[in-house]
Amino acid sequence: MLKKLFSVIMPVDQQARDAIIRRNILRDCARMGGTLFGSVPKGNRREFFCLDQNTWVWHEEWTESNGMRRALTTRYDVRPHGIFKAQDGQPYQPLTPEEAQRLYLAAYQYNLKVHEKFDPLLAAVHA
Amino acid sequence: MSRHTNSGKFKTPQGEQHPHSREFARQVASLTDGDVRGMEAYRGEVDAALGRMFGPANRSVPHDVFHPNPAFTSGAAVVAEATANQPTYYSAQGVAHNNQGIRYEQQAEKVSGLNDGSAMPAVTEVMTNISSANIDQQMEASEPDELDWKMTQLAEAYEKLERARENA
Repeated sequence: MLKKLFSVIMPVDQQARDAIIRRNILRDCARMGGTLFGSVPKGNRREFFCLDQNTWVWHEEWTESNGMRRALTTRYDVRPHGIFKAQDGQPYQPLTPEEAQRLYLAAYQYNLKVHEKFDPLLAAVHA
Repeated sequence: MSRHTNSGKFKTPQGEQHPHSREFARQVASLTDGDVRGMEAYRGEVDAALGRMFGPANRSVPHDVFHPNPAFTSGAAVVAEATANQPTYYSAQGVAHNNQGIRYEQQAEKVSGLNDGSAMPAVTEVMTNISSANIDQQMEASEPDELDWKMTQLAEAYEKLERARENA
């Protein structure tokens, strides 16, 4: 049992360790990304992050007036012919210019924040 | 070689931490080589992603009228307002924006009505399952095998997506 638990916490395989680290980085940055848009109403959960070079993800969770918990994941794909979004399994749709512009701003701010987070650490490590 | 144990835990410094503070030094010391590689890789990915958004890859933003996600619109509007007070942002990116703005119009007709999301639902479904918002629960509730399975599903979905793109 202890051995199994140990393997979960600290997988021997480097690839698995890297995957966990990447997931933790994504999780941390997603929380940070959720704060880019101002305060989040109490009880809501908002995350925004860069999944990979072509993909941005917005995730929002909230409680409706009837008490029902709702969640919405929006995925933005940056493709050679434009930016497309999909929400919770719906077909991809191209963005409006307004939404694309907002996505640009959010991505730009996200990039700044990532650098604010990582640059000092990496500079110190390599110093 | 690690500066410390390979814990797989990742914590970034909070904004208020001074680069020379003891806490900052502790965090630097606790970073593993994997953490450093992960940060460098992700920072590079975000840079590349931003480059794709502002670069040639996105010269054509579709001009169709779709209803944007209200949550995104309302939230991003805050960013737009906040960023409007940062003229350096516009001076740094203004040229690219302007150039792209012209190209959006030029390409609008080509993109109009396009919907090639054949492989996307699978990706989106998996994305929802492993989205960052669920990672805490996934990490706590899932057995490693299940996580591996989901990562495999995601990889397969991406392969389908790549094939769809190649065939498009």
